[in-house]
Amino acid sequence: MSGSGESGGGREGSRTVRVSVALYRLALRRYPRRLRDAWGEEMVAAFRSLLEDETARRGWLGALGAWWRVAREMVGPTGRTGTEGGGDMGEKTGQGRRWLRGGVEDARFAWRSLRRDLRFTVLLVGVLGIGMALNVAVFSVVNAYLLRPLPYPAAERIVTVRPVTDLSWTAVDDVMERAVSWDLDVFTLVGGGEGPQMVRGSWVTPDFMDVYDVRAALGRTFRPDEAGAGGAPVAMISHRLWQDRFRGDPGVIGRSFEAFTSDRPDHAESFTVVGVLPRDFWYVNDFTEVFVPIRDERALYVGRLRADVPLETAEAVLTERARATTAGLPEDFRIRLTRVQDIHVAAVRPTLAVLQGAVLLVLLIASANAVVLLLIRSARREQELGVRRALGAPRGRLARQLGAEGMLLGLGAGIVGLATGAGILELARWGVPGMLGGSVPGGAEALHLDGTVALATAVVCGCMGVLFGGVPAGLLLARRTTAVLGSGTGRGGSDTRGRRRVRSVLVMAEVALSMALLAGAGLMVRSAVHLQTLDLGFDPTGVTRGTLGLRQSSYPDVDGRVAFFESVVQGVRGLPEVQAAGLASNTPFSGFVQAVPFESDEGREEPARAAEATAADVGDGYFHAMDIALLRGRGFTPADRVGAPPVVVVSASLAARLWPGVDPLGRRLRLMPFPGDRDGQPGDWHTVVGVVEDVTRDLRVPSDGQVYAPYRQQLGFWMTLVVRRRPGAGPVEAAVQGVVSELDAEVPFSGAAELEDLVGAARAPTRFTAWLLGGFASFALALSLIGLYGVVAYAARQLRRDVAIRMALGADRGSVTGYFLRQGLVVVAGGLAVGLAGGLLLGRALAGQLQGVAPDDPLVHGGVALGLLITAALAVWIPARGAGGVGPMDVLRE
Amino acid sequence: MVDSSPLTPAVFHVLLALNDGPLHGYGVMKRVEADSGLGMGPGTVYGSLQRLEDSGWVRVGQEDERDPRRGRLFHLTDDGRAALAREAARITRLADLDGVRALAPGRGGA
Repeated sequence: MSGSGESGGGREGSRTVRVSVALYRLALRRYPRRLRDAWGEEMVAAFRSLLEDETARRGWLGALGAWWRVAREMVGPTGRTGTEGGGDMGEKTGQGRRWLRGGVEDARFAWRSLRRDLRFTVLLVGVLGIGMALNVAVFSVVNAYLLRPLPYPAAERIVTVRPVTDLSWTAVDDVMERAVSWDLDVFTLVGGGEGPQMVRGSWVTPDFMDVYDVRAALGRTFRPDEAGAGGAPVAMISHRLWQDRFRGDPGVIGRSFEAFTSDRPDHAESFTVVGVLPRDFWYVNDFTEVFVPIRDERALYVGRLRADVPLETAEAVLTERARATTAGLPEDFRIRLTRVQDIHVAAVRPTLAVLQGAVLLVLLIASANAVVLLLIRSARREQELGVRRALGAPRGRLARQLGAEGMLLGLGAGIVGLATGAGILELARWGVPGMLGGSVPGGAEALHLDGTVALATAVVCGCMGVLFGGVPAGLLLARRTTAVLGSGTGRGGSDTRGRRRVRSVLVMAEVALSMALLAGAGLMVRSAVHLQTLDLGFDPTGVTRGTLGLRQSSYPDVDGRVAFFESVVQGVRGLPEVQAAGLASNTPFSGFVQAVPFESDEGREEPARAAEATAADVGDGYFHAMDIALLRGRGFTPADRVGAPPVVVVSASLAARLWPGVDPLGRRLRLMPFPGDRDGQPGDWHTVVGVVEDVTRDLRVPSDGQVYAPYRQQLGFWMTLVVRRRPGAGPVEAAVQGVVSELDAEVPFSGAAELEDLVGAARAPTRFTAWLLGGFASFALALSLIGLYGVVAYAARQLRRDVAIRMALGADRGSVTGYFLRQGLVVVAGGLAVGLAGGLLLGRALAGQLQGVAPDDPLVHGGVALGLLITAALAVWIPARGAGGVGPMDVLRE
Repeated sequence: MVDSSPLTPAVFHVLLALNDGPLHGYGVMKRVEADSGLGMGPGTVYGSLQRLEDSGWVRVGQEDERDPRRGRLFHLTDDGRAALAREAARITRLADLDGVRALAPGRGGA
């Protein structure tokens, strides 16, 4: 279907084919035994070939076509295959065919019967269709993210190798058929009549091209001889870079560009473009704009296992080999291999699992609702069925017609669901990655309906059909023949205890499931509200952040770098649209949290996690520009330089933890080596000179506090510039680049982003889940209220005569209303009790995704129970009150 | 027992497909589809072949050497070829009827 799915299509097809073939084997039982015994396997093979060819030709439509053939020959008149008069196919064929022919008649009859009750049918199919559509859309996303293999050849065998050791990628070819090493780097592109531009690039081994299935939209990929020490200075560039820097020049192949890299930091090297990557080249484009062949042998990062080597064996072999290469590895050293698929999936699986679970619950509620309505309807049709029974229709036949109606309803819901679900998917496609916080494997185009989704929908529809047909039919079959006709007289239909009980239980289940869903939604909403209103400790509004990178060759000493950064900050502060500006080695929400262990002068050797905190080297304007409140002491000044006593500023929570109840000013702490780093030495003692407010650096990772050091004492080559604009001022990126270029034409201001956008993106998944769950839960609530209302209203209608008689005998309206109210409230109470337990269970399942609210939050669970009780009581009370309003004479006159 | 009463379209097309040489079941399916646009399912194909074998018009041979996974090959017997010829003659006779010609657009005033 889509071009990008070309290689993925085959694999995906094979899974669909496997499932389809298994189903076909089941369907085979419907063929005559003789045929099946003689040719069963070959029929399966023929079906498989047909399915594969049709799928290759027309995607999932083809698969549907293959099934259509099977369905038609099992039911339709084309099943007549024999030569005339050669009717020796055995008894079973004739019987089977009669049965199927009867099925077609049943379906026709059911269709007519459903059309007679058009409003009922439309309502039912509509509600079920919405439920199905939600499932189709969500399952398509689940399928694209979790079920389909990543778009790489033999993706299930691609693993990452951790920890990284000295083990070379050339020495493992007995367990890995392909081994990849790469080195992420920053390429500073210069010259060519364009400004300096800093882009992410990768040095890659030749196998990289094969493992990640790198293809060129223009030109070619690398040749194996281009890597290694004497490698060629060639490059592949991203589509984006081609469009931006090379203005989409169709003759870009063979052109060259100049770039500073970490390999030759001192002079710009010239690279010849040999290829351009496809535009939506999934994943690879996300982290790299330039590919160049690797020059020296590096550590192994990623590999594709040989097909015959199990993961555990490969781990053992690699561990052994790493031990042989590197002396002094600790006793418990193990190399772990992790499938890239699992890594990718880990981030989105929880959210998707919640959504899929929620829409399944919605469908379950919708189905229960449909069964309730169908039961009410079949009770109403009692008389019709009774008459037909009396006229000689076999009971089985009547039951089958009810079954056929159910199947038709399921089919209708499936069709509506597929069409609507495809529409939802089309509308939501581009938003999904942002909402989930992870890109779709294979790019956004990969979010489409495929054979797996169609098949799953068909299976669910089949189950619904069996349910809708089976329950009314089963209840009919369970009854005595005479009762069907006998009870139907005089009252315009009657009810049975079996049906009443099933309806009550179903409505109770609806209430319970809705309650659980509402509780889950409530918890997510509280999390979203928590994140939205969370005090970040800084104000992201109107702050632009971007990176400044210096080359070692131009700025070898700290003084030169300080001078440069100082001049930039001064220049930027002078811009009319700028209110404040400052520098830091890293900023919140930059996707990077630097956690370092350290110890306080209390001398306690704390375990790594407890003493970890994020650290940043900041300039004196940073706290001001970020609006981080200084609570005690002072910030940094130009006097805090190399040679001066080392100082730090700590955040309030860290100070409270390290020095509880003591004035932190004047106390000392020092950085410690990372655990496992044997050669590491503790850092110098730093004196605390100030305390600032705590800052949230990442919504997913709770922070243990922050340590800030003055950048003049710790200066590296990279700093992040934060610029707070004056209220109402426009973008400042270009102006800042102007200031920087004036000082050094080869330094780019890169990766500029609004802090507010970064925070918003981090909040999005929770908000998105909260919205969706809220919507699903509201839909579910509406359905269960309808069910509740319907059941009570119907019971009230059924018992009109009894009510009228009682009222004629002196019962008052209140007692009648009370009777029905009690009946309804018993159902509600049961539902609430089960639902409360369900909600607590769901809360526990959600626990990993909740922020700032406990899974058993009494406010949420209690509030939902109370709200549901009130609305449910209302839904019961309205029809119950109506029941008491019957005038005895009206009824008796009927 | 075989007389000149008409063959069903399915049987006719299966015989016609085998006339050019032996095929496995899926080959028959593809060939019939190409000839006539008739999309048969596996049940129809194998059901027809089974009946034809019972009637002695088709013989079951070895597996296809080039592609054994697709199953055994079906050969047309002499009886089968004769039946196909009879049916072809019958159809040709039908097609030559004036009334039929008048109904078929494009072939009318031949």
